[in-house]
Amino acid sequence: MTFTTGDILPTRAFSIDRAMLKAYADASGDQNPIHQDEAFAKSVGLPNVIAHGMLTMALGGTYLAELFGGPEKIRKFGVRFTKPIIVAEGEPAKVEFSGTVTSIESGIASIELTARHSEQKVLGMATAEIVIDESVEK
Amino acid sequence: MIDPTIVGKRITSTKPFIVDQSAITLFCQAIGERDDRFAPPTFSFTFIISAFEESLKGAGIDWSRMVHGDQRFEIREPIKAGDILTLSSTVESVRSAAGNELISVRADIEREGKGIIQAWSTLVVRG
Repeated sequence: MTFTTGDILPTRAFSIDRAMLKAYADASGDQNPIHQDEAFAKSVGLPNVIAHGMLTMALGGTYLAELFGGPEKIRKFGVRFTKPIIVAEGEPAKVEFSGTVTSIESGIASIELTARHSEQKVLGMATAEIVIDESVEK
Repeated sequence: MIDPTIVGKRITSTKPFIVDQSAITLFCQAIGERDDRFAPPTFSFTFIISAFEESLKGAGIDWSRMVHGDQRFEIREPIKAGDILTLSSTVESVRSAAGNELISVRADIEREGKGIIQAWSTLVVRG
């Protein structure tokens, strides 16, 4: 696949359910109960269990890696965590990624990434730089 | 109030650690990544966070009020199974904004003496 400045990347949705939160907690070591224990989450003022921000970011990485030919192509990746994703029992939360190629220089594509859940952006200032042509990489 | 003298504090891991394929595979499975030849770009945060916690020990932080504000990675070379890594963590700044306290921390990951990944986090202690 070739990329050009201004390209709109195809959207992809991920479904985040409680099993995914448990799997991410185990894989990442982040066992904070606000991501798994509904009673605990409510006791600290949250409406319900929330997804790990780093899980949402990681899903963004999965999205970009698939489009650009592998996780090793991603050289810079940054996000701001703006809204939590609430994950109620039996109600998987959908997060939808899209993106735009904002520039291409020296074999590196700069991407602006968007992550939406319930019509709201859950990541802010989400950008990545991805190698698209190793032969011209400095 | 977070102790401002922690700014500039740098901690380096005392012994290198080896990256296991099973840890990469487990992480990939959790995030829907089918390609586990390399660690995904956010994988390093799984061990960076404990270094940050170590750096911020004794600084008067209420961890129960801590949220992750932002996260950024620069990856010169991706992590792969068998890598022997060392990690250092530096407190870059502490400031107050809108009633919250913001801590900026940086992690530097080296493989055999070569820096391969830098990561920056803003941790927010809600007021």
